Amino acid sequence: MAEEPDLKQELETAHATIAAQAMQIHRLEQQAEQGSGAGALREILELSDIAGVTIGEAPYHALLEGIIQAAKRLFDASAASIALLDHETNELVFEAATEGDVVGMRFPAHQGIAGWVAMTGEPLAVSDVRRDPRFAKDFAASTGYVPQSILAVPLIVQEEVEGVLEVLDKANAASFGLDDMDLLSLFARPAAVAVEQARMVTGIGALLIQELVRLADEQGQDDLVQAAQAALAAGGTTNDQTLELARLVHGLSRRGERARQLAIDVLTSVAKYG
Amino acid sequence: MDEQQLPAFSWPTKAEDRPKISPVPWHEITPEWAWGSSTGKGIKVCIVDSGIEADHPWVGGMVRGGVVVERGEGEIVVREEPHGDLFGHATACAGIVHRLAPDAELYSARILGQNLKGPGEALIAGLRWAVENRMDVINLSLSTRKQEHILTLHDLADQAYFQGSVLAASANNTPVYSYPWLFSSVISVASHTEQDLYTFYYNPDPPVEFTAPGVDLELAWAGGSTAVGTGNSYATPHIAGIAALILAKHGELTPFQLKTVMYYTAKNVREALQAEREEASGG
Repeated sequence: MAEEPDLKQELETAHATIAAQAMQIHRLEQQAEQGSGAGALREILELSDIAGVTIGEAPYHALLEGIIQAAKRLFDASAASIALLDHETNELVFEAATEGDVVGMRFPAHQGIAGWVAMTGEPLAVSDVRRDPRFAKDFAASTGYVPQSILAVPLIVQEEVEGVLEVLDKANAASFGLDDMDLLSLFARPAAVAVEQARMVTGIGALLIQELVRLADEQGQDDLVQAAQAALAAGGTTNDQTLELARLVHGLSRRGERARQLAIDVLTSVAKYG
Repeated sequence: MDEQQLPAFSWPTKAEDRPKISPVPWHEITPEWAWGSSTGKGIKVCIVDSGIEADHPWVGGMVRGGVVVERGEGEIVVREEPHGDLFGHATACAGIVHRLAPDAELYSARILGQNLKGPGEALIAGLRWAVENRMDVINLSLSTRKQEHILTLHDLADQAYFQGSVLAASANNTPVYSYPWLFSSVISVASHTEQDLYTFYYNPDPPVEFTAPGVDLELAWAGGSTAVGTGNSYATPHIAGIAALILAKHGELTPFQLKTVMYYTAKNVREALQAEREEASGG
């Protein structure tokens, strides 16, 4: 059990990060409210409410879906999408889109409008992009959707760009304006934190199962080890992992006071992240 | 006191030893005085961005050179070589400068690329190249949020300021702190919604000092095409272009004096002065 303090420390660190992010959301919402006009204020309150809902227990992809549907509706857009950066390959990967079957598609982060936003961390509003032959038109055409106007903003977590949120084709307008840029940028802040939070929770779920596998292995609980390894191999969603976690903790809780206390600590931490 | 006894950086006290100054009465500083008949000839303008597409018709064949900043074996390398625009953004900025100052020479420092992750080290390398090569005007429609780069960027901005290179830097489009536009040694630029090329406003509420056209602008874009765009990115080259026009006509101006000239030629300042004059003559 030499690693137990390390695990607890890691969990405490992770929890402190999440708490700091929650405070950041709160601060940014306040900042947004103070820095905008009355018209924008109403919209920001509305979107803050939506963002608040999305930070709940929804699985990762449902959360992304909630964000892009909210963005599409709030900005009178025909479509919206989220692409996240794969830092290893420096590619953007579509994680969610309201139109077309593009989830999982990749494109280099050093080209195109979303690429510029990902590289610079600055929003970009461009319209009439169809006149640009190098604007990934083939790519857009393959998704069955070629936009007339694009507004793309970065998803930033702790100074690092993690992805790009795009809305396409504003209804009844030739292009997205500065107000849209301001508002979508504000919208992207809690959205980025929510996405990162969901990623972290998923990661923490995997970490917990790994640790519990080790613990069960030490105690000769072959059935638990096999169940946990199967859960890890399957990947699965946060909910799948949490279910598996519950089973493992249940098994461990019958193995003595020390294991039971660790399980309680673990579950307490998980409950706080939820 | 004898001159030799002066502390470092001090000026001689004898009038005949001091550098000659030819001040211009502020009320004579008008747009016509500042840039009338100027085309930007003889001025070097560097766009530090995604790389200018040199053969785009809207940059008029005025690209005279440039560098590509890349990540080599673990370190940033700067190579002088022709290049295109990976995104369209630099060409858009260059097109605006060329529209205002058609005879200004354009230089390109491409700081975004395949092996680079955002405008951090590459931005510094590109900006350093522009400063060390004594560009008269440097357009930076980008910024970085990375705190670790602040000191280096600040030194570069000061170096530019003191050697007489004007650095026009875009304010972030969102209300966040980023650099170098927040430094007082640069001209920081945000947007207004008018379209007239020569109309800019003085902002009495810093850190942004001037606003220029930045909404729904027809822009040069990658691949010889055009697009319509919005953002402080496009306001900044308007100020860079105006600066090029002024410096081509008044090469002796320091960045400090240039800002003063821009203050007196800003639309809102001119309107206020005009109103004062009318009130005085009416009274």
